Amino acid sequence: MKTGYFPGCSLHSTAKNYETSTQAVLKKLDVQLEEIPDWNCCGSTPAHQKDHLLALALPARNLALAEQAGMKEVMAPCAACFNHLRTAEIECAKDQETSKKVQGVIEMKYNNTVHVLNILELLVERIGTEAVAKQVKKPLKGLRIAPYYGCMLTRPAKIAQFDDPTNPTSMDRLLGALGADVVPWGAKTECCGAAHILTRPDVVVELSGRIIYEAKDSGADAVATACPMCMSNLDLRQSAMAKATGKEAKVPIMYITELLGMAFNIPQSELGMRKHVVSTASVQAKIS
Amino acid sequence: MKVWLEEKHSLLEEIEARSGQKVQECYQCSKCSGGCPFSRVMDYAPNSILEMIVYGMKDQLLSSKAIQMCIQCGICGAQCPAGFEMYEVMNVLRAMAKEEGYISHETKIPKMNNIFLGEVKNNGRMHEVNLMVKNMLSQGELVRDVAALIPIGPPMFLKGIMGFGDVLPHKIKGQAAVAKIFENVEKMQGGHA
Ligand code: SF4
Ligand code: SF4
Repeated sequence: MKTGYFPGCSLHSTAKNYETSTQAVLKKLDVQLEEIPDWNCCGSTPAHQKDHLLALALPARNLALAEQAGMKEVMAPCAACFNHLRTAEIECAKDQETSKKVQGVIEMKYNNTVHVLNILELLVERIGTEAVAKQVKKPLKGLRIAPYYGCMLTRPAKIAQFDDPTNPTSMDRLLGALGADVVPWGAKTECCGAAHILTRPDVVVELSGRIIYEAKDSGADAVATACPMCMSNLDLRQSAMAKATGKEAKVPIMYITELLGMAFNIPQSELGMRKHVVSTASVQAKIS
Repeated sequence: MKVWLEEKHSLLEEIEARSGQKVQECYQCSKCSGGCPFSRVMDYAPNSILEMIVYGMKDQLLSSKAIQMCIQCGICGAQCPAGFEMYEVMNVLRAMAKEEGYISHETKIPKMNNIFLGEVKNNGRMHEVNLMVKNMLSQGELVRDVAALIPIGPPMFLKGIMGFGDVLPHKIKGQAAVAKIFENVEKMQGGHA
């Protein structure tokens, strides 16, 4: 299977391990990723907040480039990139006027032929959990994982059009296929505070802290995520959470692709597993 | 009195038309505010904003912090018993504030957004190190921000989350095309973008 690929800015800087693990895992699953040539930033929350047309045009340039390269589908592992690319896809397809305006702004033709996918969608709906299960060499038996979806994968529902907006299960099924114990918990789709980390770190530490302590209270060995922003808020801020609450945090946060890679027995050097602030050694020890 | 009533009417109508949301159908159950991760640090909670629209409190609304804090996490919409998408109203209010030149009580978020988008315009991609440094320098809370980075910065380098190669931005080939997108949007919005 071949699919278009939009890595996004984070996967090329702070989330390199998300990119390396995504590539390694999809290779094992026989998926060839074709990167959109010369892609640009999707504009993320700042473009969304600043100007609606800009927020459509920045992702649309990528969709137009993908279309030129003959891609029918584009997978974006970053939940935020997925959300913003999908917004452009949907709004251009829905309304001719919008599409014309956007094409005028990007000065490129775009015929609305590209469909945007998130990584869970690719893994669960295109590849399927059975094909994933077939690649498992080292089941994650006894490993208690709390699946964390955050906001951008499933909401707003009319944009994401994926899974259930407040009780999604696709990551649960994926973890099940790896043999992990999926932890039922209450913070699956809570907000980590996202981009407010740069302007209101106090609020983000509190919101992310709620998620971390909920995972801890539910007995999770680790939290699984598919979003670089969530990863950085949840992983990097645990010392601040502990300082604010007086309670130790220390919950390893793993990209879903790192867990897939471990179960597929892909060498850790290929997965980039050392790039975590909270050590993932306890997770690795439990399954080896 | 007559003038006030007309004003109130036009605000409600404009927001309903632009957001596609029937503001008057809100039950005021405040579930949206209960679920909103930021309502307790907003000056007006989401359900109050809907009420203020009905009362025509335009100046307070368009200069509020709340409309700048909404990140469209969509929790409000997912929890609303009336199927109301509150964030669409937030988006319209933010757009109106910009069009009409309102200065927000929330200054940091618009500033950070401009720094972020400046990086994208100049390089085609967002550069995380530049964004963090420029944001810290501009927000006037350098001491607090540097102190917050002390436990984070060194581990980020040590663990290779950030490498020295990440310190310098790199431009994409189509940087000029991306900059042109910004210019075209600016032109189309009559300088309001
Ligand atoms: S949850 Fe819906 S009905 Fe209830 S106050 Fe909010 S917008 Fe109104
Ligand atoms: S979309 Fe905006 S208003 Fe709604 S819950 Fe999220 S931050 Fe609050």
